[in-house]
This record gives sequence, C-alpha cells and structure tokens, in this order.
Amino acid sequence: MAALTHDVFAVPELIELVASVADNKLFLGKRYAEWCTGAPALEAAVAAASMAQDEIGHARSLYPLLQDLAGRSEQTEPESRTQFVHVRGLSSTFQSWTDFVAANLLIDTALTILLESAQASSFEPLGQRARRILEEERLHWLHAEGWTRRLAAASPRLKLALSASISAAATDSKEILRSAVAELVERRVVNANTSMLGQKFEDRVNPVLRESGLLPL
Amino acid sequence: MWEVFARRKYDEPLYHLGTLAADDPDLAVVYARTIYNEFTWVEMVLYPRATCLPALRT
Repeated sequence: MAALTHDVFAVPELIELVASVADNKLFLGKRYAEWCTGAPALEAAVAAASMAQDEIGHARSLYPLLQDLAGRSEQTEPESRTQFVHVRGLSSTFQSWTDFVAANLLIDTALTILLESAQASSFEPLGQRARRILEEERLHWLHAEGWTRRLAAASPRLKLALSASISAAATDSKEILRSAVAELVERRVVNANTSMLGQKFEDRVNPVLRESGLLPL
Repeated sequence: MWEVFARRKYDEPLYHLGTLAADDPDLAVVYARTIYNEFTWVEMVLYPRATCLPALRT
C-alpha cells in the first residue's frame, strides 16, 4: 500500500505542499510557544501553550507523510531536518502580542483553509490528517477573532500596532495558499486552486477585520 | 469573570471547575477549553459571574 501511495502521489507539488504545511505549523507552534510566559494574561498564556502544542502536534502528524512521499532521509525526519519551508514571518520571534494575534488570524487561518481543501483528498492519508487537525483549529479561530476585536477596541495605539502586524502577516498567509497548484487540483489532492482559496481566505478574515474597524485585505 | 462547569458523562451533574477572566465570550470559550482540559468532557458551560442571582448572602 505504501509503494502504491508513493508511485501515484509522489509528485513534487504534493511533496512541497506537505512540507510547507508541516514546516509552517512547526514554526507557528514554536513562535506561539515563545509567548507561553509573555502573554498579556494568565488565561492567554495557557491558550498560547495549548495552541503551540496543537500546532507542533499537527506538524508531527504530517512529517510521516513526507517520508512516505519523498522517502526516508535526514530531511524528512523532523529531528534532523534542516531545510525548512516556512514563511518569512515565522523565522524569528514575534516582536509583540499583536504579531502573535496577526499570525493567529492570518497564517493559522491560511493553513486551515489549505487543509480544508484537502479534507476529501484523493491522497487519503492527507485527508485523514486534515479532518483531524481541523477539529482542533476551531478554537484557534475563536482565539484569533476574540483577540483581534479586543486589541482593535483597546486603544488607537494598539489598533495601529495590530494593523501593522496584520499587513506583515497578510503577505505570508497568501504565500501559504500558493501550494494549491493546478496539478494538485487535477489530481484531486485539493479541491480548489490558489486563487479560489485566496478568495475563501478573504471571505473568512475580512468580516472580522471590518467588524474591528481594521482595513480588509 | 466567568464561572466554568463541566461533566464527564451525560448522567452526571455539571460540577464547578473554577473561574477565568475574559472580556470576550469567544475568548472565554477558548480559555475554558484550554485551562480546564484535564478530562475529555462531554459538556462544558460557562456563564458570566455578573449574571448570577444571589439566593443567599452572609
């Protein structure tokens, strides 16, 4: 069964998609974890720890798929992997809580939208993991919505800072959706291309931004 | 401030887990689920303490 999976699905586009989702989730989890002791409230710190654990767990569940598709090597083992494929905004610590919230709202949601497109994937191991991951992502979305509203209403200064963090994270979130290339839609690995997912992404986040008095994407 | 209740089985009563601070209902849900995650609950509810009707005060 593993050989059949490898033969049929081991195309560079799928390997890139799995690597991108796994690596971005791993680094998003690491960035969330750095705020476990720096969040503005004890409750938010616990939520940050929980979301970090979720994201790193999601990444760990995806690396075995990378091994199935690309073969076992130092670069497909999470412990020895060095050539990560993640967006720029996750390469260093979030500078502020507004960066955390912006990544939660945009980068986390872009990964969710991408996985939603793979729920009925012809590459069933990806579909299985996507369905499981999406169950846990509901709370992450609530967290992002709640904190976006809260920060935007807190003070003009915080609203401005959040707006700047959102602008920076917007580019990264759109880059994540670029993994949904036509080849993968044709193979029914995902059910929508980058452009369609981009629209879905905007339809999800823009109402929250508008409601909070922030500029839509 | 929110009061959090949960139960592990449907035939058990809800019991008080504790409290949490949140000024947004969505955040209150996230915090309740992430703070009080010691069991696999079948139901969890929370309500703002300010809406509590005191039946007795000493």
